[in-house]
Amino acid sequence: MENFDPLGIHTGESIVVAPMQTLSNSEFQKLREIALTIVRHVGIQGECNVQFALDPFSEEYRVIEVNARLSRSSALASKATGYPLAFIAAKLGLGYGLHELKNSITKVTSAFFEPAIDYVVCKIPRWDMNKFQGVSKQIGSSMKSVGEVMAIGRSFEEVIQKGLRMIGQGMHGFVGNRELKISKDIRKELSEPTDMRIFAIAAAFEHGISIDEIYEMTKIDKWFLQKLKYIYDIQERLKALNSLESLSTDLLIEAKKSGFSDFQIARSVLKTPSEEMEDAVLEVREFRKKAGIVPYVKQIDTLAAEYPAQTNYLYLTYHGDSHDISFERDNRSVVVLGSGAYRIGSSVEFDWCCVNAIQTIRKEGYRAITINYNPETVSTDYDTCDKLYFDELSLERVLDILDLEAPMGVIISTGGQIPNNLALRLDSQHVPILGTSALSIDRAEDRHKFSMMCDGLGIDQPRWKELAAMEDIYAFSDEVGFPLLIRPSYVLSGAAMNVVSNRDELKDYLELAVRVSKQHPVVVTEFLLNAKEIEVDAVARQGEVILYAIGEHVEYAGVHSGDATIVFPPQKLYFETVRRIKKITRQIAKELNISGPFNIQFLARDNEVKVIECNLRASRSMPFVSKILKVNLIELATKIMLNRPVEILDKSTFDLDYLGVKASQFSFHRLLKADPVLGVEMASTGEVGCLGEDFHEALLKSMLSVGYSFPKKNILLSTGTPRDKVELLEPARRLVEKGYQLYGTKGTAKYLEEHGVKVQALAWPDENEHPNALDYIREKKIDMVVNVPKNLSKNELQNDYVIRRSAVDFNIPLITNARLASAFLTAICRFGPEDIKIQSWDEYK
Amino acid sequence: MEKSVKPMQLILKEGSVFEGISFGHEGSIAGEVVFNTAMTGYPESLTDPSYKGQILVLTYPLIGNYGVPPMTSNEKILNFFESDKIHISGLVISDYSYEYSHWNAVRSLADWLKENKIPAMYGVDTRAITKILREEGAMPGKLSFCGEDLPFEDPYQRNLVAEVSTKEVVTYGNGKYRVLLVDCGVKNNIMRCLLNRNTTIVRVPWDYDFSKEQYDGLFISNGPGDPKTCKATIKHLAKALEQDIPIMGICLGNQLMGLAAGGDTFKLKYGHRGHNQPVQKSGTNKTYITSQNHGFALDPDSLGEDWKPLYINLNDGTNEGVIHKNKPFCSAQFHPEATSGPVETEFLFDDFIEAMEKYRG
Repeated sequence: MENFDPLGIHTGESIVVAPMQTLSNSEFQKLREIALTIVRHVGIQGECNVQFALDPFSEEYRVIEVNARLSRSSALASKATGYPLAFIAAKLGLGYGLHELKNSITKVTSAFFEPAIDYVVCKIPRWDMNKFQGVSKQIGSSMKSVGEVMAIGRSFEEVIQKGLRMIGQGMHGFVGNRELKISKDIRKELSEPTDMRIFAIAAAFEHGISIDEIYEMTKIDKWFLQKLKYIYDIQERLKALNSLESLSTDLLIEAKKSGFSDFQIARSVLKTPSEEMEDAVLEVREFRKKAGIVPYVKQIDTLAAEYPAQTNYLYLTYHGDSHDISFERDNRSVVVLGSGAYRIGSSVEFDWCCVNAIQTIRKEGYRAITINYNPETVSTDYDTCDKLYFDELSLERVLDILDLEAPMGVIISTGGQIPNNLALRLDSQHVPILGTSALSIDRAEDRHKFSMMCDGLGIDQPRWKELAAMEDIYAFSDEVGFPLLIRPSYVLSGAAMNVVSNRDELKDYLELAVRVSKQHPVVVTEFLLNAKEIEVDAVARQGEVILYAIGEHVEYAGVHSGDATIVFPPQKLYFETVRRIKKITRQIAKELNISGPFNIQFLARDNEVKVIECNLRASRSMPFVSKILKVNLIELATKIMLNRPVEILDKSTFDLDYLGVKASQFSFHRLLKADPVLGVEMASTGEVGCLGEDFHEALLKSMLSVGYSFPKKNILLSTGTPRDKVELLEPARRLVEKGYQLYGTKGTAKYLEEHGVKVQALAWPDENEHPNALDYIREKKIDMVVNVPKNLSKNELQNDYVIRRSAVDFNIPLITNARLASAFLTAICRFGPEDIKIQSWDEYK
Repeated sequence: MEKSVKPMQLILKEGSVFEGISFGHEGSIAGEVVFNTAMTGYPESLTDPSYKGQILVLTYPLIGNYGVPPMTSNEKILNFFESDKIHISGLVISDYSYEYSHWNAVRSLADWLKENKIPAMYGVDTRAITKILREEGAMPGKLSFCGEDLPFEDPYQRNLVAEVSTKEVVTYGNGKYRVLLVDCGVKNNIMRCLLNRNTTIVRVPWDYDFSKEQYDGLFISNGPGDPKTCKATIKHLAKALEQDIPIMGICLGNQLMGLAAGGDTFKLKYGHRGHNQPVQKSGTNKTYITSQNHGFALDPDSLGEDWKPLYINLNDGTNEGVIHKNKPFCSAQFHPEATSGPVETEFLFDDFIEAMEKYRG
């Protein structure tokens, strides 16, 4: 595998191609031989990864890293070649020799061989830097990406364009994208790369910067740059045309072989404005199919067709003129659309849902066909399903596959938002969507339609308006008061959503961060303070709720549900609240005639219940509740979508003698300068679920699992608003009783002292006084930091930011939410390390 | 970058026609169509004399990326090529890289092909062609430039070895061990591997009668075509087998060794051509990844009692080398000299040197 970016950019941050493209045989064999020497010297049995740096002007090399284990790139290497590294490594661990094992794909040839691949793959990292406030976007030697995609094709142009679409950040390939928010200085962007580097290269071509100059600034091998330039040149040729009739078959084929989507062709040739793009794309599709230009299905067989292989691992390419496989078209297959790249907000939980849907489909006697392109997932293991299309989840590619397969139906509700967003467009192409109808999905997704429905059913929502003029926004703020949640449709910089607490913040945000216009309205929503947030994960059949699970957030509303700590079953909800939630859930299921999985998010304050949003698809928390409840919600939902009978379970979530707590994993230490504070944009990169017989026990287990530890002695408290101070008073008292030493920033210390809690005051970081909070953190005199922001706005006070960021940088456990801090501190007072029960999942009954 | 638009067709004897674009010599050619699954090493493969008479299909789709290295040489041997010219009849690939990028490249693959008058085409479904060859076997085919008509040709009607062998005796190096190299189409790296090991090489034509020559070791090289065509070599080799001077053979040399020992060879359906062929040393757990390029194989059961198999192919169980039970004679069907391909079996040359040392004793 060869990195597209030169040494200095972490492999996890680099575009990677396989096999290597710019190395001669002599160079390749040299590195291979050294790798083998290392492996033999170290005595590897199993898997090993060796990273090299190679001089671009000689055969000089350096070994950068040797990992004597399965590495991040092992999954990529396995998917790129079809060679199951972990499986074979496990067999070697059991004592087999390589020559005694068979190639898992051919079943007849030896596992002792090196894959010969007859295609090219391209891995592209997925970053989510926009989710963080203040983060440095430069890429370099530490890894910031949160996921990756892998594109397969038979030319570099084809795979890089496919891959850039797969990344899922609204890009259409290397070219044909909306005007980019690249800093005005392209040269700076090229020499000091950020996550936008590849698009900066496109912009450089646009500005007539030569390949040699780009090479000087990026040190990306000219071979790659020449290929990119070729894509750019094709776009220029397409742009010179103005109708499909003037587009020659030869140029169309060349464009398709170079990875151009129908969308890119429509935009370049037809110059269609964005609003009319959907029709234009279909027009190009029709034109293309009439000209007989369609992609072909090829197998990944590990040995370049040298031996016959019954492999179901497939991709599509325009560099072909026949299919490797035949299509049954017998109405006995079901297509499951996967969840794409891991990113903030969509990680392995949706892949779990897809895999469970696939397993259920197969159990029910259908063949399961998967479309997905994330090399890190289980759903893209070719032995999970009957056919795996490792390819794009774009409308174009999904339709290409459905044209060939003619499946009985398509499941779009287990792969998260990517397939969900295709619902209406697939439906308009008469694709048989299983489960809830596309029209119902649209009624839930479209804010206006959903509001109208709620009004009709008498269901309460936080007041909101979609507004395009500043005066209207001010008028709305006068009506409902602050704080307000602002969701822009066009972002200039920084994170998309924000909460503003007063008129000044509102004005700043609207003027600096977002563009408000008729084309780009903002949605302004009333923000309820100190409200509980509650989630319902449920499965319905033709509008009747078959199973539901209610989860309760530990934090008050304002923390994204993906970041929140969730307790299931709920421990502190009024019966009245639960009753109302159940009623609303049933009403919505019935009104939208839901068949399949769905999720509703509620706000509750006192006994007032409001609906925030409703998703007619599997949710992030379904794997968690399925594992706690020990009922597989996705299996149930899939059976319903397949129209199979299901048992109506009377398992009530309140009968469990144990409970589960989901806690979130954050990666702030990797994201230099990012403010480690929780807000309405999701920031966590993973999660854990732990069981316990008591809320505090389960919470403690889950917090320890995401990296918190029992503080040894010293805890720094800086507890924000008066209300938060009250929240933390009782835990503080217990900590002192337990023998902990508390430190507080001035206000907090004063408050605690006034209430009879022993505390030592520390000066703020910007005060030239001692003892100072910052010194204590830097000297690691503090074992845990609780710093609660004083308000909800992004522009937190510098002092608080410095405390939080330093805690992260000095690896001191940090909690920034008063409710969570209160729960955790109470938990450590109630339980010591020795009190935590070790029990397996099936011992909880 | 001006791209060619001149059409070229690959027509297979079984009837399939593949349309593509010409990027090499503007002409037509017939030959036997074979495929190679290596992902790197086209300058080496194209100059490998074993490909004489063959139209080569590369299964790896992106070709030409690193251009073509310079024609510099050392001791009369080109540094970066396996012989003095391109030996394939024609080249078929999927995606040609018009632009190349490599510190050691001096020209493009297309320019080199043109200079050597070798037709080449890209833009075809090489995987589909490979599947036909796999199912139907390597077969006659032709590259037709701009619709030109030409007959199919069976290269096995020709004496391919005679076409690629040296016409005269040439001596290389000045080392301790004198190796008589029978050139049936020898690859340069076999000579490099020997010269690096303190040898003097006397390279002789394929049909040269070496029975009067003085040497410490006899080396039978690789080469193209059907081994049974090399009657003269087999005759001379049979005589050498009666003596005790060490003999080593590679590829065609393995097959000739078997024939000279009284055994038989047969044509494989589509041969072994690639860099990932697994072989196992008989009677051991030793295994190697090898570079291979052959269309014929030795039938190990046909050998007399004095011989035993040395290596077998882990994929299809075919013979990959033989060894004499008492005398210092052995051969490998794969290429320990590699180029292109993995280099881990180069120790076979050390074994040969050791045998010569023992013989000189």
